[in-house]
Amino acid sequence: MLLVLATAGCNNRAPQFAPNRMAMIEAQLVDEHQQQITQELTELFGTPDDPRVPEGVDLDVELLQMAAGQAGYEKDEYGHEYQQRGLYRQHCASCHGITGDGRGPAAAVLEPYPRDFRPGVFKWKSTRLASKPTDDDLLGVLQRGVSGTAMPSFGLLAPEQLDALVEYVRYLAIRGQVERELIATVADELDFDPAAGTTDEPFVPAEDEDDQAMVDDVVASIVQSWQSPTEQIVEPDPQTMPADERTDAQMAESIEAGRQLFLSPRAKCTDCHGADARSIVVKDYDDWNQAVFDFRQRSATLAAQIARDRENLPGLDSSLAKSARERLTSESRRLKQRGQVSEELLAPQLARPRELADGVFRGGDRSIDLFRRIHQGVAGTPMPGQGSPRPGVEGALSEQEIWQLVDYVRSFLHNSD
Amino acid sequence: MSKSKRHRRNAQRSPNAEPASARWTRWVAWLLCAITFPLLWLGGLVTTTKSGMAVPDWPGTYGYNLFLYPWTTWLFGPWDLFVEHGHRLLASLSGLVTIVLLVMLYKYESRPWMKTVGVVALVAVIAQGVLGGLRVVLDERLLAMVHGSVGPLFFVLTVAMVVWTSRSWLTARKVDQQGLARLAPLAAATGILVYVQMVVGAMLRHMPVTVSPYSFESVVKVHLVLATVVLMLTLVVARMCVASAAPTGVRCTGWSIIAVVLLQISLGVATWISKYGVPVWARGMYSPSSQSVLADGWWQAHIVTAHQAVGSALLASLVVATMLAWRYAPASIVNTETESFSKGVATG
Repeated sequence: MLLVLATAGCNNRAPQFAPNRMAMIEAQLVDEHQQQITQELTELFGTPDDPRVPEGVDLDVELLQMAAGQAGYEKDEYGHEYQQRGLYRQHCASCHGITGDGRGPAAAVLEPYPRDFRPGVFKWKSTRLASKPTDDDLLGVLQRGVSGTAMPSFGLLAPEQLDALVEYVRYLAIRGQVERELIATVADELDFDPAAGTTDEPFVPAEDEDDQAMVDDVVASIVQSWQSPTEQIVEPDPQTMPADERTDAQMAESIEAGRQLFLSPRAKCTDCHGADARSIVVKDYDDWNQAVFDFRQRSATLAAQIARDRENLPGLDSSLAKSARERLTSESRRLKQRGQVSEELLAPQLARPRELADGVFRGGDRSIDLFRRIHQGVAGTPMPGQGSPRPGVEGALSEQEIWQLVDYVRSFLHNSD
Repeated sequence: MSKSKRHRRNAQRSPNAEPASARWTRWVAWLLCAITFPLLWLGGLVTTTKSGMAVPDWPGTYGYNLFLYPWTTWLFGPWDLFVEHGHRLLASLSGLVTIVLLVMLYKYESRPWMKTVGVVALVAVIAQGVLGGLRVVLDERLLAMVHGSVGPLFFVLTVAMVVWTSRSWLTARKVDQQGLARLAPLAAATGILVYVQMVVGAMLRHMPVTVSPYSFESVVKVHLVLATVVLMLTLVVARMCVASAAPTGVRCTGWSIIAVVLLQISLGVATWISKYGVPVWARGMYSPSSQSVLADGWWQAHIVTAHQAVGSALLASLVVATMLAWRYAPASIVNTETESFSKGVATG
């Protein structure tokens, strides 16, 4: 109890962004590179109290300032007006965490876990599967909430406050993506010895032009992925869209056609959602949990390898034994690092397909929301898209069939409050 | 009132009638108690709505003297400012009433220890105010948690002062029932456990955002286990109160403990659902809702705040049960003469 009190009460230092240790360990980066990447990220993006925007990144610093820092008000630079600060910490960080890694204090008791923004993947959006969400998509999630989960609606916040939170979520996502890309690039481009944990090629962009060019390339590629998401919005073909006014008979016919499609092997809906749209099959992880599951699996494989190597050690002659012992020492150190990271991660949760018959739809229940979800699937989850994955490519279902599925799924709406 | 009426009333008054000074002292004690409970509620609302730093200076409000801050800005300005400044104003009122009570105790009360209690109350209310102020000035969450944990103790003290100044306390006679002697320590122990539970709840509410999810989960589990233990113990205490041969006050306290603890458990469940949604394992028990909870909405804010405030009410009920059980228990020695007011019983 005292330990818990100490944990809860005395952890009051200025919060810092947590490094993506899982990605660093997976890339087998040496400590020196890990620290240099963290330092470079601080140069680029600042701290949770004092965010910065790298050159070329389309983020509004004033909005970020409203969302960053301690919750409350502080005087402006002239010491006159009080300005709002800390909206993210006030409303979001207890679940999504300071870094936006989905590991805020309350995360472990929630199902599903809060979103980890760092991969830059968002479920509830109007754009194509691999595209980023628009600002309106993120705003919609904040205003609407995600029904059936712990994510509430922030509909009471002022428009400017919501804009600030949208901007900060984009900031955390871009920062997280830059971090992941830098880790991958450093691991690819620079020389280091993971067994010895040393490098003769430090990563110092401030002093090395090549390193700086590497950073610039990474930032530019991430910025590009966030540019003009509105051009990626899935727009249904007006020719196939159902009429606004339909008779009961027409609606019943469309719902029945949708039901037949739902049950058909073509659409494969029942594989996960169940034939009655309620008896769900829980079998897969989403991308976020899959990454943690894979990390743990690889740790278990490494542990088994170490155990085997230990068993074989006595049978080796002295020349082989020396190198085997060195390998064992290195592997044991890696396993220890992986163990430390594993302790910080949340135990992977299997993705629960929606119990559609409940009539609760997380990403919005308008026809167009459901159309886009069935058309493109849900990013980062096992839910596949049934429509055309990109212009010019035919999908598994026609748009007319997708609208029939939408009518069938929406017919469950009356089952919810 | 005419002379004849006053004469008739005096004639009807029993020789042991209570002096007006005692009545006034009790009413002021009641007033303090009645102010402190909503003060706790408002303090809880400050935490719920995260309004603690809505007024970044102290003891003033945005440079104004606390009492001179423009009331139109307070009433019609931002909600978090309304809550925080309102909390400060009500706290000041509580402090002023505590001073009045202390003056009355010094003037009319014959029991020396009651005067000491009055001083303790004043020191406590000042300390609590300073704690609240430091929480703002230092922007320190740990102080917010301590401030939130001291509040219920002050409320319990005001409740105890109401009991100590009550007519039934002053005129109590021991009851020949051994169960009452067992009730007092059990109710006291349960009260301590309830307070520990409240501190754990305060930890959950004031958890820094840098704490690991597993630490938070551990505190949640402690809170749930304690809730189960508290529920069982309070029901035992309540049953002993209800079944006792003591005057009605003890039995009423028993019934109120049952009502408050059941309300508190319900509020606990509602708090969880309004904050984090229905747990997966319980989703079949509820009709699914297509609407998300509205963050900081009226229902969420007041359910969560009520859970905190009703915890104080439960604690207060157990303190009353402890005090009355001790008072009526066979072992206790009641001497109304030495505890009567200095102005004399008959002279009112």
